[in-house]
Amino acid sequence: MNEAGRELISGWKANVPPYDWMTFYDFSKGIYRQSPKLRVIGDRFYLLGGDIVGTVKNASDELLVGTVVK
Amino acid sequence: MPYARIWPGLAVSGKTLIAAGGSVIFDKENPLVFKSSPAVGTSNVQALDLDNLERGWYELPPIPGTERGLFGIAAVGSRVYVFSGGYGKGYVNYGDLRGYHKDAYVLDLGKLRWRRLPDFPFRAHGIDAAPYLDRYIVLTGGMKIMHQDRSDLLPEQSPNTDSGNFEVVVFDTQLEAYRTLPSRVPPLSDERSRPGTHLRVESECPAL
Repeated sequence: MNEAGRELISGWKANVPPYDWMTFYDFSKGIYRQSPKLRVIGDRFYLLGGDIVGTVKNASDELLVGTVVK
Repeated sequence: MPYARIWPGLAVSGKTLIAAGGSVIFDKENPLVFKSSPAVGTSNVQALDLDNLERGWYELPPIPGTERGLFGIAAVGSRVYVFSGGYGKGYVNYGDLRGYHKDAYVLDLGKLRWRRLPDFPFRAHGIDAAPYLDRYIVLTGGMKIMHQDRSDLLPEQSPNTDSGNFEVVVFDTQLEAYRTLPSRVPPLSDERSRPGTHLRVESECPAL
């Protein structure tokens, strides 16, 4: 996360409750993908990208592929 | 579109695009310029028939309940399904001013009527949905909202139990029932990668 992101979140902390995931997310639970794009082609699922508030990257460049086994 | 919007849902039924919900700013003088404040959430639904572009975007019945954004939406045949999502309790989009839906609905495009479905298994924010085999809708990603949202509790009394959603939920449109697949989506890796090169093939899902 860059300095601008740290400043933004530090401003939130005083104003949000402790359950606000956008400010206080415990990344040991696993890095989430907020608003990724999911599509199915044939028997394969493609999960693309996503928004991650409060990480180094802030967004995912990952394409995840899942396969349905029949 | 009639106005700019962010965080909407978009579904495709045949050759018709259905845009629903999200946040908008209803500025009659400049409807296509979006400003984050004072944007408001909406449950409005509009459609565009690609075989009849002259008609332009036309209104469909709004999603029941309050405003809704960052929800799961998908169409199977002539039915549009909406799952969970979030809403703003005020103009400020954070903290306890952000609310979450658990309900789900289906819009029959022939009857132009919404009908309530069984609630989604949990409150979710930022999930995405995709149809599969003209029967199922697969939903994953986003946040799994687990904290209690009760007016009789102080914020300190609601533990930080929200987490990323790594579950894959399948809605069967014939049975109108949910099933959570045993195979979860792995959390995002925190390793840095070059843009466009990060592709992971994960464990196989059992047959639906």
